[in-house]
Amino acid sequence: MMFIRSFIFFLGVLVTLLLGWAGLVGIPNIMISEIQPPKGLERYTYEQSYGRSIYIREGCLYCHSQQVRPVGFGADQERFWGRPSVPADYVYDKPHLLGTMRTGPDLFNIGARQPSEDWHLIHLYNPRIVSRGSVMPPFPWLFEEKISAAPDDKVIILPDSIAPRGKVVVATREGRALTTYLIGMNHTYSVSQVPARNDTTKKK
Amino acid sequence: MAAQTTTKEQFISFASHTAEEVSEKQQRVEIDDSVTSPVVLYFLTGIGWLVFGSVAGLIAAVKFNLPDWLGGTPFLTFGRIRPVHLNAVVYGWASLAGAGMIVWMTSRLCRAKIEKTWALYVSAVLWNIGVAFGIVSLFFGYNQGMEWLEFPKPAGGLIALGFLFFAYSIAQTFRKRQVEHVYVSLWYILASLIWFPLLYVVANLGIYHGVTEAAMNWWFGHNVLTVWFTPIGLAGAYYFIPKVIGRPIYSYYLGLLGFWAFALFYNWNGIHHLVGGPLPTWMVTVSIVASVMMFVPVMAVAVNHHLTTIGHFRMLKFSPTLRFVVFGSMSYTAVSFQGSIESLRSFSEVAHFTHYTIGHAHLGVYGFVSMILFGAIYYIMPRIAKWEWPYPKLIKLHFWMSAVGIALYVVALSMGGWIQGTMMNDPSLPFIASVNATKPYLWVRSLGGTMMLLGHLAFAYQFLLIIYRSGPTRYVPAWFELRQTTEENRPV
Amino acid sequence: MSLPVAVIIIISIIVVAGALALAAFVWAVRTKQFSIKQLNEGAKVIFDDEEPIGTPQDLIFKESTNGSPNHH
Repeated sequence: MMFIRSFIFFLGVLVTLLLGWAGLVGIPNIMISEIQPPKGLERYTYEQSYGRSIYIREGCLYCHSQQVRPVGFGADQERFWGRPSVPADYVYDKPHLLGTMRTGPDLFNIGARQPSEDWHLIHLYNPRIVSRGSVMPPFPWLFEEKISAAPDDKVIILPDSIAPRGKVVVATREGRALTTYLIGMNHTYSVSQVPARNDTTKKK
Repeated sequence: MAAQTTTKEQFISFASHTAEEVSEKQQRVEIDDSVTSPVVLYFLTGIGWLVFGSVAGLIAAVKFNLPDWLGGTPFLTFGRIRPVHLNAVVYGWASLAGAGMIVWMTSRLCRAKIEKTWALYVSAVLWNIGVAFGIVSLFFGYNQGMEWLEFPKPAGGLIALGFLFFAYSIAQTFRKRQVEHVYVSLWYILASLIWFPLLYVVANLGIYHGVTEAAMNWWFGHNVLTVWFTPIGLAGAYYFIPKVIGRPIYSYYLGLLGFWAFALFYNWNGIHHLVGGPLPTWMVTVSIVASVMMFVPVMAVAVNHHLTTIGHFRMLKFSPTLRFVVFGSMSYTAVSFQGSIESLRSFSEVAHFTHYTIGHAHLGVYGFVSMILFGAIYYIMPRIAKWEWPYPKLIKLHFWMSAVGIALYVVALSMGGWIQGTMMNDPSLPFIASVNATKPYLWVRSLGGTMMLLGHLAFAYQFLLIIYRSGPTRYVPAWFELRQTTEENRPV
Repeated sequence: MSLPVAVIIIISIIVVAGALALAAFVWAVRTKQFSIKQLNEGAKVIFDDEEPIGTPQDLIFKESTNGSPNHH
């Protein structure tokens, strides 16, 4: 009797967990794995992958999302953050970086909105140079100070109040890779997949 | 003045009247003795992570308002110190303190001495090494890139292994139980032992990518609450509320319904973290439905906990455990109702991606789980250390710092987050407006966090005092005052 | 797998699981002759002769305000 009760308890506990997994992960996995990558989406290049790993290392995902919400849900469309994102956009993403916070803006199409390498480098050096009121951390360790720049160094021009005297500030390989990744974040190609319907009843 | 220790014999002789009572008391004393060392180890290391994690959290919080503070070093950048905070308080503090509470409670509820104590020591060591290794890795930037799953696989592996040793000891103790009925707290405990290892292993299989990985991420993230932390909190509340008040749970059979409804619905909540996201609509809808259905088990628990407490609120004046645990159980009702509403699309449209969700998360893990764990530790420690808490004033300080701290925290982030979301959704305003609007609220949040940290320091200090049996001597453990019943403390 | 197929599979799983749960409940009621009163007895197991129902425990703050020895 005790054994049967224990068995039912064990089974019930197991089943409730696995059912949830099956419904939320297992079945969607089967459905979504059939999706083909969109024509406009390319695999990450080596530099972009490297930059992506820096993005993860510095914890950018804790303040930035990478998912554009559909029409009628939030103001993503009105802010020209790109067309609504669909599952197909993420087939090459591992780990996913969808994000859950927008302390800073969504970055899914930041490369389309802001393609300037110089802007990104200066912004990473200290965001408040180009973005007043920003609370983003500075990333000076993605840069180094040198007496003079080598021929293929990327020098960044800083305001006089911040620029170190008698030295130039040069982006490191990491800084350039991160920028390459960010500029590559461009998902404006078209897709045939219909985005999720999340609009509430109000029309815009 | 030398500190006197109450010996076991003195302890027992205060209480004994008949030979029968001696043996029952003796049994309880022996059971408590058997768990003392492992429980103290779990609590001590857990509290260590609590203090560490609170400092890390405060650093992260202040950086919202002063982003250039400590900005020159990569080790303390927000993007690293933030996951350090989360993992330290989740896998360090709450998990270890919860494990300690589970060990003591299982032993008591089974009326059996704890089995395989060696396994608990192994577990505590592996677990702490795993967390420490993971935290150090995060400081150096090694991050798996998913929230709640940041620890590199070796750290996660050590934690999972440590958990298995812990589960082994609990399961063996349960097998040797001397009771006919398995109390409700044990249902939650036993369920978590089956659920948590499975959850952790399935999440770390590494077979996912793309948006399904996101779905797995949040199935996992929410399920850590479902299968580990909520059971810990509810097991604590279901035991300590009736025990301290001296009344059985209001409607025990309702608790049975509540348990299975909880198991069924809560497992499907995960995708409410991705409302509006690039996932099939049906997945999001299913999770929203499940989140709303949580009203059923949460109401069952609320009826049980609150109606057991009603009429006995004056006990809150006397019992620190009850204060913390009742605060925790009220927070559970509040955070669950809030969560159900928050998952609705119209609400999520504003609150998602904002500080509102952070406030909600802290109401759950701190206001609910941690407050109950504090209450549990205040109850358990005197009974195993054979020493009373030396400074009740420090307990009061801890309580008020934590309670006011979390209240400020949650209110500030809820208001600030709602405003942030509203402004974010107003395209006539530049994005930076939503950031600027939150700044005053973020200061209040840091104030709340500072208060919580101070409370934790008072708590940690007194915890050290009690395990070293320092501070003012007590001849008579507090609860034996019952023996001298006066008009004032007559049982209700 | 298309959406309708997935929905059918999930709903079938839920129906089957629900039926199993119902069967388990019915079995439990039949074999153990549950009464609400009997079910509620479980709530009392946390008490015993030493710490019986009706006696509150844990009076730390009370202890510190009355005149017992060696409190501060």
